[in-house]
Parts: sequence; structure tokens; C-alpha cells
Amino acid sequence: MDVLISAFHMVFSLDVLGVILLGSAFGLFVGATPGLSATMAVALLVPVTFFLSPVAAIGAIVSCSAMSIFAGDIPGALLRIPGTPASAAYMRELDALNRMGRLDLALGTSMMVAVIGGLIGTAILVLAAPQLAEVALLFSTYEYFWLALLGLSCATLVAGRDRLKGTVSLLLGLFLTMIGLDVTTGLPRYTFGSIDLQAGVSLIAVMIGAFAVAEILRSAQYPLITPQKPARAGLSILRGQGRNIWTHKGAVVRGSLIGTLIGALPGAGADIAAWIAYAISQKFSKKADNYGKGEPEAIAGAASANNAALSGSYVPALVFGIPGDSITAIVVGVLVLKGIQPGPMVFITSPDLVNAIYIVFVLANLLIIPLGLLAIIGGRQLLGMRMGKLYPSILLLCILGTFATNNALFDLWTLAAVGVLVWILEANDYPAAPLVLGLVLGRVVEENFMSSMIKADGNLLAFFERPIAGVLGVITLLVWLAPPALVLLRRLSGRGSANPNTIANEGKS
Amino acid sequence: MRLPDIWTGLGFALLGIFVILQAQGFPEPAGAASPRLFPRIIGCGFVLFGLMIAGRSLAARMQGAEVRLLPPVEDWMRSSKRLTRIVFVPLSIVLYGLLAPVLGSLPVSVVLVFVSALLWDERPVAAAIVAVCVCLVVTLFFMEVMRVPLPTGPFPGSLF
Repeated sequence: MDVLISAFHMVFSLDVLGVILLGSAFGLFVGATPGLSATMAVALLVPVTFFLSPVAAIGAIVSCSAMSIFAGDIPGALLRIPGTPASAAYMRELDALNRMGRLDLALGTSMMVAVIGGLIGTAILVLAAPQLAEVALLFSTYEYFWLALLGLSCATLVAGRDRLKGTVSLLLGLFLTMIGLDVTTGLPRYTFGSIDLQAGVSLIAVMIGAFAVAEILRSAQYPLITPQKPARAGLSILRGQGRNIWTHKGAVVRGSLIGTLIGALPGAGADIAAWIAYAISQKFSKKADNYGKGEPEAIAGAASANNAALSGSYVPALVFGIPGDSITAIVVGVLVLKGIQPGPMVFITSPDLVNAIYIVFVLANLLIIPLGLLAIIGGRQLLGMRMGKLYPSILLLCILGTFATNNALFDLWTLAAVGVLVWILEANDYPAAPLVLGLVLGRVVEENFMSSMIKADGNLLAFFERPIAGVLGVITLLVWLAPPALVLLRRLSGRGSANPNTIANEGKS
Repeated sequence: MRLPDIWTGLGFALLGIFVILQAQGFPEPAGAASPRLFPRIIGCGFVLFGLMIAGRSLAARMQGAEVRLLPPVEDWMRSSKRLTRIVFVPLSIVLYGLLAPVLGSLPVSVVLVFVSALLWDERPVAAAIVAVCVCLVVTLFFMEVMRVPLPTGPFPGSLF
């Protein structure tokens, strides 16, 4: 009880509440602006969180990401352009309802189910995280090595269309973590005599470069579009929402559960959760034919999933210190920079911090109603904003934010280089997310690998001797080896079945 | 900027060789904890997967697929405005780093945001208003609220 009271004190202080409000407002702005993603919003917040207490920092990130994922629905309904990728799955429904003159129903449903989805996801986080943390306390360096590698492997599998390129991107992130002093021996590696490189590559500069500068470069290469003024929406979106949500309660609960589960899986974020929840909702629906034509049930099923996924993704991040997606990769990075290593020990050493995070989740999701309403009313003005005002301002935030964290010019060179590199990589189908995940988890992987190697005296079989480590190791190897093995088998069986035809054809001729 | 997979694949394979060769120079203490081990694994990964990407592209070309060996000319490369806009993004980061310690953060930011807004098709008056307002707010936020000592250059006071 004392822990809970202490957690409430940590959250309900003026500075933390103020930061949560500002983070929410920023998240709404970025999420509602087409072309800017929730990850970009969080990456831009990182330099500010550098100067905040851990609770305020997490509060800013959680509220910003929750708001931006919901706010992505606003341009989806008003302009038929999803604000964030997480809204793309059900954008057709939002747009169709808008065309039918039911903009209030579209935005009202998406707002209310986002809140419910987020709260259900939080409830599961509160229930599941401490149980899993108890199991995680039994883990040694072997289990942590496999777990981190499994997380990275899954993230690589689902990121982008090309597994090979995702793997190369991950290797690039792991290579960047090797720059600086070696974790085990303290010897410099790949520093080329530069003192700046001895401290390693700045995580903040890489995150902002990869998610914000690269995004600006991508937008700069296309012709500018003058945005049209969208339709107006207001308080009417709340009318009849109680009945509407009750009618679609099954879809909301199902979407929330699917979203939380998918969010907790490494690599799968809110956008994948929304697509899968939409497909499952359609499969179980009695009104499946109406999907794609403005069906509120489809919005209820999918929009609840993307906000629930956000809460779900904090389960592996908090319990194991293994981020499930780009946003939690940033969260883990921020906590590490603040001297807090996420993992099962956090539940023992800082239970008040863990409880404070739960409270922040509840608060951030509840704030979606008043702040979301304001964003919907003001969204008309925001969506009319010209790119000439938007992108130069974001670029300035990137520059000052990166410089501010260490007051180091070297971080600016890193920012420019990573921004250009990720822009080129993404244009060639090399995804950015594995690079950042590799950078965040690289040290965890190497540290646990080297400690395990020392303990095992170089015997690799020791990595499989403990039961949980063995299971995790086999799963990790299967993740890597099963897909190429299946392709090979398919080719061989195809060749086997092709041979008789060939022989038959030859016989005919 | 689209590059042929053969180029990017070979580029990563070369990076892998560089990573491995550099690792050979790291001192190796006794025992299993060698600072060379992890870099070698990563380097080998670069070589293996880089060659697989290049090889896959080459194999597709040999089977008659349309695989280019030279980078294609893209739309934005033909538009001088879009090209300048792209070049100005990393350039403005570098210019800020070089000029802000000498001239101060605020004046350099205002000029960079103004030029950037013009390149994003903003009208000059609007670009100037945006540059001054945004730079003032952001600089004051970092210096007064976050207490970050941004470079002031030759001018005294937090506004510079």
C-alpha cells in the first residue's frame, strides 16, 4: 500500500502532470499530422526527457505515444490520410462514415475504443508483468542472452519485406554498439583515435536521426501538396457513444486482447496489431459484408487493438528489458540513460516506479477523451498547416534536441550521418527499426554473451544446458533456420514433383 | 535514393571485411573474453548476408529478371528545388554545428529555418515570421525551461 501511495505521489506532482499534459499535446499534434509517426514524436521527445525525472520521462513518452496513435485517426477520417501507420488498417471505414455524413460516429467510436483498448492493455500489463518478473528472476546471463537475441530475431523477421535486409540493418545497429570502450575489457574498439568515439555512438542522435531526420528527407523528395480544409467535427462525437460501444462490446474486448498480445510479441507493434485485429473482427462478424463500407464495428475492433498494443509492448520491455518495438526501444534507451536497467530487478528495487508507470498509463489513456476532443475540434486548423512551417520547425527541434543532451558537436555529425544513412537504407528496403533495436540491445547481447562465455570457458554447449536457456536457444535457432529450411524443402519437393512431368513430356515428344 | 542490391550487398560485405580486419588489431587477453570475438561474429554476418543480397540480385539478373547495375535517375534528382531541399537538411545540421558556437544559437537557427522554409515553398514574409517565432520559442524553451546552455556566440543573454 505504501508503494502505491508513493507511486501516486510520484505521478500526481505538478511537474509530472505538466509534462504528461505537454507530452499529450505534442503527441496529438504529431499524430494528427500526416507523414509524422508516433515513433518520430517519441524520438523528438527524448532530448527533453533527458532533463526529467524517470517518472516524468516515462509519463511524457507514454502519454505522447498513446495520444499520437489515437490522433492518427483524425486525418484518417477527415482527409483519408492515416496520421500514423497504426490507423491505416481501418482508414476506409473512417472515410466511408465521413462520406455518409457520420463523421461524429467515426471519430467518436475511434476515440472511445482507443481509451478502452488502452485501459484493458494496461490492466493486462499490471496483472502479467509482476508474474513474469518472478520467472525472470530465475534467469542467468544465458537466458538473457537468448532472450535478447530472440527479441532481435523476431523484430528483424517482421520488419520490412526482406528478411536478409532486415538482418543487415540489425547487424549495423550491433556494429554501432561496438564503437567505443569494450564492455568486458574496457579496451577501445573502432574509435580510430577519436576521443568523441570512445564514449560510443550517441543513442539519442541515432534515434532522432533514424526516425525524424530520415523522415524529413523522405518528405523532401516528394512534390509538396497543399492540404485541403477538411470537414468540421465537434462535441457531437460523444452523442450516443455509450450505446454504440455497448453494441460493439465483443469487438472492443476481442480487439483489446489481440492488441495486447501482439504488442507483447517482439517486433510487432500497434500497426500490425490493428491489421490483425481488423481481419479477425471481420472473420467473426455477422456484418462482415459491411466491412470497408463504413462499419463502426470494424473501427471498434481495430482501433482498440492499436492502443492496447502500446500497453502490451511494455510487458517485455519492463519485465526483461527487451523492447518489443521502436517506441519501447526508445523507452528502454531512456531508462538506461537515467541509470535504470529495465528488467525483473526493477520490480524489487523500484516497485514505486513500476506502479507509477501503471498509473501513468491509466492517466494517459483517460486523457485521450478531453484532449482528443480538443484535437478533433482544432484538427481542422492543424490539418491545413503548410509543410513550409512544419518541417523546418521539426528540423530545428532535431538539431537543438540532439545538441542539448550532451552539448557535443560530435552528436550533430552523428545526427546528420545517421539521418542520411537511414534515408538511403529505407529507400532500398533496409528497415530502420532493427538498426535502433540492435543499438539498444547490442550491449545487453554482448555483455551477456561474453559473461556466459567466461563462465562456460568458451564451451558453447553450456548455452543450452539450463532448461529455460535451452528452450529459448532452440526457439531462437528455429526462428533463424526454419524459414530458409522450409523454402529449401518446398523447392526440393517442387523439383521432385516437377520431374515426373518433365519425364512425361519428354516421353510424349 | 535507390541503389542496385548488388552495390549495397557488396558494400556491406566490404564493411564486414573491414570490421574483421580492424578486430585483428585489438589486444587479446587470456581466456574466453576476447574483445575480438563479437566484432568477428558481426563482421562475418555482414560478409555472409551482404554476399547473399548481392548474389540473389545477380542470380535474378542471370535468370533474365530486370535488375539494374546502375542507380536509376529518380524524379527528385531532376527537380533542382527538391534536390536543394534534400541537400539542405544534413547541410543545415552541419552548418548549425559549425556556426552556432561562433555566432550564437539563435541567429544561426533563425537563418537556417528561414532558408529551409523558403525551400519548402513558404512565402518570404511567412518564412521570416515562422523562423523568428519558432526559433525564439524553441531557444527559450531549451535555455530557460530545460536549462540547457546553448551557444550564445558573441552576444550576451539567453536570447542569443
